[in-house]
Amino acid sequence: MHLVYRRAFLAIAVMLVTASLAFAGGAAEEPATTPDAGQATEQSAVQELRIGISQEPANLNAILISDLYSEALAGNIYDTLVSLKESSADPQPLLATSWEIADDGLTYTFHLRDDVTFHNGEAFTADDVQYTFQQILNEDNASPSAEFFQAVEDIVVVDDYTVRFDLSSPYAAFILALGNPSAGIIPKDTVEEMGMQAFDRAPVGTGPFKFVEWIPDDRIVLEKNPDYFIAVPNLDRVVFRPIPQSETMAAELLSGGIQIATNILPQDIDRIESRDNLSVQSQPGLSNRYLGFADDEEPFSDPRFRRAVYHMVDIDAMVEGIWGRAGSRAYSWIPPNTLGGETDYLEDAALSYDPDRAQELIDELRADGTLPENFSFTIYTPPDAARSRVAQAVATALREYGISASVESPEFGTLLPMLEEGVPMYAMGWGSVPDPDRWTYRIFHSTSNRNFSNYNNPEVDDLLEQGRRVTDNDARRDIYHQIMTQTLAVDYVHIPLVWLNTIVGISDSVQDFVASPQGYFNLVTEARNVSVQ
Amino acid sequence: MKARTLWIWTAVHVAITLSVIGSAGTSMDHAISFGATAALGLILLLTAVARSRSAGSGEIKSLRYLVWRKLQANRAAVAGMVTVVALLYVALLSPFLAPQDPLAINWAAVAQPPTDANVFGTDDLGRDVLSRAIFGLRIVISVSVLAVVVNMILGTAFGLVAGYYGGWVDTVIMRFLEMWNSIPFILLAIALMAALGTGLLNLVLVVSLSGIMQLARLIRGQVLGIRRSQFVDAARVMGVGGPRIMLQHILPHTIAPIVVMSTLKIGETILTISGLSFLGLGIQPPTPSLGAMLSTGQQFLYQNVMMAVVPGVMILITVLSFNLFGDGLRDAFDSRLTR
Amino acid sequence: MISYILRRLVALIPVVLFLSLFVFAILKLTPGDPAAILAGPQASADVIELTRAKFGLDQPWYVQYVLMMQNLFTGQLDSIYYGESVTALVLQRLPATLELGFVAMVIALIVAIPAGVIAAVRRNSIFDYASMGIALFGVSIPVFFTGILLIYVFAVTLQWLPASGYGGPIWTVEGLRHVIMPGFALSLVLMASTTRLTRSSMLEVLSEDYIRTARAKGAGEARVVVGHGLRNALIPIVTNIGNQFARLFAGAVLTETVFAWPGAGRLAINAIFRRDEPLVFATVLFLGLVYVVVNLLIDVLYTVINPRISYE
Repeated sequence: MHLVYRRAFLAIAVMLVTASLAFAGGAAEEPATTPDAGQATEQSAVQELRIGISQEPANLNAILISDLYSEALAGNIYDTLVSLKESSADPQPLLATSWEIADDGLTYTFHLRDDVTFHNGEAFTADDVQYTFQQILNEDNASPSAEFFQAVEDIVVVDDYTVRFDLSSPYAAFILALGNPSAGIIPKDTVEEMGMQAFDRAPVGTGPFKFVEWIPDDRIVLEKNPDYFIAVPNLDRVVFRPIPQSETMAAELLSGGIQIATNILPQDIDRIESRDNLSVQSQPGLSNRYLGFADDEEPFSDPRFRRAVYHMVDIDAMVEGIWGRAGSRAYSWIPPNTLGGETDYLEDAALSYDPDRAQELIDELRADGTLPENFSFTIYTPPDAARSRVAQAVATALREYGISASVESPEFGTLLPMLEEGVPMYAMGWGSVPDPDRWTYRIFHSTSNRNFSNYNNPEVDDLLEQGRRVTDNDARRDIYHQIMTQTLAVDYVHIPLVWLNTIVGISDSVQDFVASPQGYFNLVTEARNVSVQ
Repeated sequence: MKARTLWIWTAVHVAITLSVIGSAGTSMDHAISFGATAALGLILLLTAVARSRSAGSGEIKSLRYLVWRKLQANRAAVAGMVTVVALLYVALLSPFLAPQDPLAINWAAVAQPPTDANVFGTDDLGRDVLSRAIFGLRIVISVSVLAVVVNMILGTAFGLVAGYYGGWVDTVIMRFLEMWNSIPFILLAIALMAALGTGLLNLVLVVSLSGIMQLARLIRGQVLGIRRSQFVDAARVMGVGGPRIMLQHILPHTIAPIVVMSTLKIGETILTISGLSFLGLGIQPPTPSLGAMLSTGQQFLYQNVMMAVVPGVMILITVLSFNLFGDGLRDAFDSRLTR
Repeated sequence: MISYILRRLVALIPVVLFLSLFVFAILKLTPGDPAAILAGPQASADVIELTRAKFGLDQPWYVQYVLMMQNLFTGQLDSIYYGESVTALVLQRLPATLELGFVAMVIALIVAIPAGVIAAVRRNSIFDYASMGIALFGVSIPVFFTGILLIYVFAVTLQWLPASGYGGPIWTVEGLRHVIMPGFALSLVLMASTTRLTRSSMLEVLSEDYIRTARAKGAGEARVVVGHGLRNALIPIVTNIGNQFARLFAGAVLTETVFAWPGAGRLAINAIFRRDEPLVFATVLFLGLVYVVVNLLIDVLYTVINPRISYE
């Protein structure tokens, strides 16, 4: 062979070898079954629902779930004792058919269904319930849900289908904690056999869908559990696809690649709604955004400084400008339609956009030396466009008053330890179940690591502790109003900004789907059974 | 460059400066621009004077003149050069050129399409897109130039030392650079930026660390070629120290590849910075940055398409003109080494 | 020859050590806590502490380093986030990564080599300027912007191609449909450098004596250009492609993010963002090694092909 040919031949051979690796690698993998991803219109016997999620879940082992993205899926794999899927205010039977709460609020007795089996055939009994909560409380597992069950002293198996929780003190939000997807029941024998770590990768529950596979950054696949005790799911397969870019997500929905899209940008709502075959579901959700100040560092600790910032920024206009139809102005930390969630008294105390008043306060602070000349600091936010905009707006406003603020948006792994340490100002958010304790204790109690402002007010601490113990609704409401007044209308520790709506873009081919306020995908419940036409 | 060209340039510089600087402001940005323009004007003037005095002193034969003539004959390169100069002026004078405050928020006009007041409409916070793009250019050019300068200094230093001393020094430096080169750069940048925070200085540092090896190799090759030449030996015999030989006798012979590589590198650096901005790791808001504007803009294509088009085109023109200019320089120097 | 390869392989050991130490140093010297991510944004201090203990993050750094290296080489290193072996995770990404790189390379070559050859043959013609202009254009637009534009045109408006994601192996229709857009977006940079290199390399070769001889002998123009010219111009082109291909593994991060493509680059940056230390460690090490090994292969092949090039 001619020398030049040989050179070229060999060089090309390098490429071919590399390329054939690709094929070998591809063939070694199980044949991918993604039936006609681009063609949602094709009628087939298989009902497949494809849902776009903005981020992957952290864990699908119920007792290790730590984030909303995991909770959103988990309700389809696991069942809880009580169901809050249709309404958080009105717990419905699920694995438990009925329950009794003792008058002192210290004993909860649950009667369980006797006809339930796990996906692998193991029968569901009271032992599994006991095991699940023992594992949540077992420190070796470092379960993030453990804190919601701290009041649990003992879990007693009364008989195969009766289980009793003994509490050390009354805990008003106990039923809410039991209904959360992170309290899904896991199979005792199976987990003991395979080990907790292996179970993370092969979750087994009693829910309407079985776990099939999780290919990181590509898809999570569930298939129907034909033996589900509520109803046989209409859907044969559910595919969750992580799509990090919201533009790409919208494009997938518009082109039929997915039928349900989360993470819809506020500015895209109208455009998606205007399509014949698409609609947008928007409803008040259970997560907020707020602006926080350090309470242990001058000048941020001075309520006058916080009031000045409050006056500097036109909060109403900002919330409208950033979130538009995706949120509504917040005044309180406690969600609307929740005990203590009234806001009239706080709306009166909210400060209006008033640059003159802001200037007066700043002058005052400068005069007494609290605020140095040429002061500069950094506002921290997570890597999220909306919160970064809030920080930018505040920084831009501060500039008018001779204070220079920059904005930093590090990743959560870096940001959270910084916030715990304490930063001057930050824009953050919170999401939880509709109980006032869940929205206040961790935020304002001086011992909490999520009290990023390091706010320390013994009176408020005391009120927060009372709020956990008191079971009378009127007394509880009054306590939380006092807490809100002190923190938000006297001390101005935070400026509440917005309640986010839960927004999903959805294809008309999907029937019966309603997004939950938390953004959970509840596909089969006592009231619904989602299908694809 | 001929004295006449320099005189013309000086005149143009003064004319441009005077025509825009009329609307003088008082901010820091204005002060920086003002100082830099004045300094540049002075340098131009002094060089022109110096050249006029020494006119006709055999400059015709110099390498620089030959390169300049070759460059002038290359139309694409001239176009690139003219655009680069124009962009540099825009960057330099941006506080005077921008029609509005690039940071002024207007919640009543979020992502509005172009109007008379906002020629390219407004962005996601109601800020003027054109003004932000003009300032964004200033920032991205200064960051890239700074990063490239740091990069060139590092690369040249490694190359000089490795080539001059040879032996184990050479081996150690080149092995180290090879290892450094094996780290996927974009991942390194992401890891560093995600961890160190995203200040401008961090950005310059991180971006300047990429691709040191190519330059070092090139310089080393050049140095190996002239290390044993007579003038170097002569200097050594006269007892001149290593560092001084490298800086005074060897470095001048490596200027050509340095100039070419740095020009080409600027375009690449601008793209890297935009890419980091896309991942949320570039220049931090509210400071205008072309990359961040583009990645935000592509979420608002249906509200104000200019939010993406203007920064996109700005990046395109800047990178393109630096590349054209750099290509032209390379052809003009015509050294096979610099390919 | 064999001793040369052996020496090069031995030289890889310090590279691996350096890479691993360097990556580890970055992970440990910079702020951030993997436990904060695992325990979730609402975790209590206790849970974070327990999580740290569960994954051995509370041990001294040198213990962590030794454990990580040991586990990596015995195949027992597990990703903190996914709880799966890092080797398995990286290997799982290999098909998607290679397919994307391969398609990008094929698209680039199909366009770039003919364009470069014609530009060289018709030097200073409109075609020459146009192809060089387009090549520079392609390399001057940020890839994430090209990506979004492609999605809007071909997926949303025309609905010809799926907007994002992995559709299966490349030889299936779905797999091919999914890979076209990201492959094209990724090919632009490679296309530009290959076109320019082909042109300049061809120009050089075409001015050689043997081309003139061939012409003088009356060989057809096509035969002269392709048979004699391109054949000799290929070596630098192939070197460049080999080099760039190795880089594509990591350089595709932006493309993979825009198109939600499950490749190795995205695995790596997600791991960085989540501070999944073992996974960052493994992916960076892997990507670095791929680069070094591909370069080694190129060098070795040259010695085999061309006896004039010798490595002592």
